[in-house]
Amino acid sequence: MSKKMIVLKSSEGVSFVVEEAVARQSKIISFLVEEFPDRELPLTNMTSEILRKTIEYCKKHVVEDDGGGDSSSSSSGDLKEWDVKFVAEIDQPRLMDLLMAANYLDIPSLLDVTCQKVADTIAACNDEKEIRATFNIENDFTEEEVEAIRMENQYPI
Amino acid sequence: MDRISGLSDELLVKILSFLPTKDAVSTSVLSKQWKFLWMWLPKLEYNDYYTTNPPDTSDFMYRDFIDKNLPLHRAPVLESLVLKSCNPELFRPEVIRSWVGIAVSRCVRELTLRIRYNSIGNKPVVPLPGSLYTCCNFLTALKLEGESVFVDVPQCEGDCC
Repeated sequence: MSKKMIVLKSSEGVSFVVEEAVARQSKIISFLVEEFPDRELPLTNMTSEILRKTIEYCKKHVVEDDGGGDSSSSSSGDLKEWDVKFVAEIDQPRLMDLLMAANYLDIPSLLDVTCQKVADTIAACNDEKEIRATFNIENDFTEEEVEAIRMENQYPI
Repeated sequence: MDRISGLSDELLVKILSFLPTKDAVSTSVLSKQWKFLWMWLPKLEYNDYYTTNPPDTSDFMYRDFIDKNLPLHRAPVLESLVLKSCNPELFRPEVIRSWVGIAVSRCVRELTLRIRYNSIGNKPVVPLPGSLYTCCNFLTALKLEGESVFVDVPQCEGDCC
């Protein structure tokens, strides 16, 4: 039996033909497929690159339901390892884009993986200066304000 | 604008929820946008493992910080509160009791108490507030570890639970 395919279109107008089961990991797409069957779905705020990455993730995580086809059904341990590698290979700006894509398309597991990666990056920093530098966060506090917050939010070392 | 600050506060809180509470709180000095984000954390964990006995000034400031912020915590539902103590001079029984009471009023779902007071001789016992047994409609898990928590479930008349 042939698998039902759907077409997702990136912001650059590039079409991606994807198995419906793969795309349905996005709750939004799942909804849209039911509302607008046989329609190409435009994802105007997603670049081809990010859409490709998102599809790659969904392909890996699709749950095989009928035992047929070439869908992967890895063990959860393997999947976790794969996830770690998947986000490790992405640079920070693209990680942010992927995180936003996961949020927009409502793919909870991809959102968790990307948020975890950002959190790990924050945790790996030695102090707030390093966090600001890593993420380009502009410090709009005065030194006194920072000191006051630090005194208020006192933690034992 | 930098990429991370372009994320919604909701997403930033989600990112912070993957950090230990201490690290999440420390992001409050990053910028004005980040100052209060940690107060929306759905899960909190406090312990006094790194305090001194008897406590010094900064230890008391830490306790005051929890005392002040727990009632002001903004998460509509507290998914989890973990309190761990080994220092009976700092996280005193009545202090823990009061924090548990606040957590109950904040619809806590999972409450974990690990109390292993390191005092010699008679160890003080932590009583739990009555509201935990009677008003805690959202509680799904109560984990008690250690030896110093007094569980005194009131007798139930009618369908009080």
